[in-house]
Amino acid sequence: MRVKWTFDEDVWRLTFLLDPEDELTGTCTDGQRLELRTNTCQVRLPPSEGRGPDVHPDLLAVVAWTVTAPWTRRRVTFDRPISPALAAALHDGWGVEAGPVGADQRSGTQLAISYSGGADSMAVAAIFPDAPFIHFRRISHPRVPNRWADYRSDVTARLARETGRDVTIVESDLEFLLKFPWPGFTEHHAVAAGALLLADEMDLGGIAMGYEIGSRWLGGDRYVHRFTPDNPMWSASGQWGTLFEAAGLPIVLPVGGISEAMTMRIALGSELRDQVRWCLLGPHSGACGVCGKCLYKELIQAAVERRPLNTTITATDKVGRKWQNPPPYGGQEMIEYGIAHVPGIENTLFAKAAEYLQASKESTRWLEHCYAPAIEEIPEQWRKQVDAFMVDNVGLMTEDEARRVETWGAG
Amino acid sequence: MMRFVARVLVPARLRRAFRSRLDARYITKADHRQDVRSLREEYRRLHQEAKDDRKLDAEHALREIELLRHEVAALRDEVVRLRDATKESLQKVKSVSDGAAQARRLATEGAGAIDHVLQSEVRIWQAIDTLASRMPDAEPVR
Ligand SMILES: [Zn+2]
Repeated sequence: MRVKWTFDEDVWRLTFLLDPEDELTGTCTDGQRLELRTNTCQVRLPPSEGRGPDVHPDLLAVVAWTVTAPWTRRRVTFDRPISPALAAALHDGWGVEAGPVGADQRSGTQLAISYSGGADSMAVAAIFPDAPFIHFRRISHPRVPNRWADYRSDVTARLARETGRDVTIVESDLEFLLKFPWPGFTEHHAVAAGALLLADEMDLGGIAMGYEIGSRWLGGDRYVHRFTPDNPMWSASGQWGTLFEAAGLPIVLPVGGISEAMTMRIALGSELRDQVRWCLLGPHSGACGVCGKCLYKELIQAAVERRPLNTTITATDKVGRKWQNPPPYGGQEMIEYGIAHVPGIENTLFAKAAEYLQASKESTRWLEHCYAPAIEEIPEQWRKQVDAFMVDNVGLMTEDEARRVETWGAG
Repeated sequence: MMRFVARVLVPARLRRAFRSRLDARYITKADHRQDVRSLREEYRRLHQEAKDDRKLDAEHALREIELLRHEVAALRDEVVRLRDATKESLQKVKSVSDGAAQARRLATEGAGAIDHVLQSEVRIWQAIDTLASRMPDAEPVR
């Protein structure tokens, strides 16, 4: 793989060329099979006076790697020398020869939040009230007809501004590089493209993301449904964690030790409550209330608020049907939590799942506390703040509760 | 719309008039014959009146029926017209949705074709670079 960046008026354009051994098909780190469509994309930074192309080459290399990793088989050649640490991270993580090598390692001091508008990233925002938001906004690709126009990227951007926080919106068409399964990130880490390209300018030394305990520790992101301390995407010492750290922008998961019930409680209890959105399909770009995600989030919210389920979806509806089948379910720990805490669950479409799972308040107590190793993973300069927040607002897991995490999916 | 067209065939007022005259003069036997005669005349007159009334009613009814017949005919024309219009607009709707389906098909096929071209382009550059790398002392193509 050969990678070439050009810069013109706040826009970074990437072109990559496949080496003979490279392929148009590949696999995302989460296991998803992928197919490449085209080899150019752009990242548009907000207009700024006097911005030049002087970005550390490791940052450019990591952005490029988030869109080229699945297709690269043996080596990757960047258009400017990278640091030895970055080359080593690429070699150790993916077995590829990366070069040329010849840059110093970079570092920064500030933390930015990768903002999506969902409850998880709002909980992160509540923990770091002064950290700026960087929001990735999808735009059309000049070479790809956009057949997915209903995607409401403008709404999330508007909500981001409404939070009153320091918001930087970065636009990119890189999701259209993918032909299969649909437009989306080749690797989940591509969402950090804006943070990477602005890291020098904003003096960033970390990028905070909203991945919670299910994604980080319970195998939820890779659909493996078991304890994943070595998660290749989100563990600090995994291949991606090491790569970002080598570029001086370690991934920080402030809510990596708590469940979605807790991120929901934190987000809805924060001043950003009105800007929380997990679905944009409904009227006024609010939650539609009828999709699978809305149903899942409603179960969690009802559980957090200890109130009956409020939904029109029935067991025979398309999104309701899967809850009539036996487990495993995606996000199963949250289904257990919902079943244990929603009054009258036996009269809802989750009645069957409740029978299968036999969850109780006692058996789901661990989901109300923070898994301490998740705090240990946070880079030192931000660890204390997360630790204090968790102790004050959530509470740490007992040994027994932590064992529930560590034996998840084993039986 | 429906109209009430039934009529009472023996007018009630004829019966009432006849009976009241009979009652009033029943007591005076002297005038009985005269009464009977005048009653008979009265009866005849009333009968004729009734006959005229009935004829009038029948004429009314006929006119009514004629009117209704016209209205039914007009309605029937209206139904035919609407049915034809519906058929026509259904055909229009069908051809619009055919057009939309065709547009959708073309868009999908077009996008698929562009994907194919884009992928081919990536492959072609890959092949060119492979060939170039085999040529001795060759500069990279780009
Ligand atoms: Zn929805």
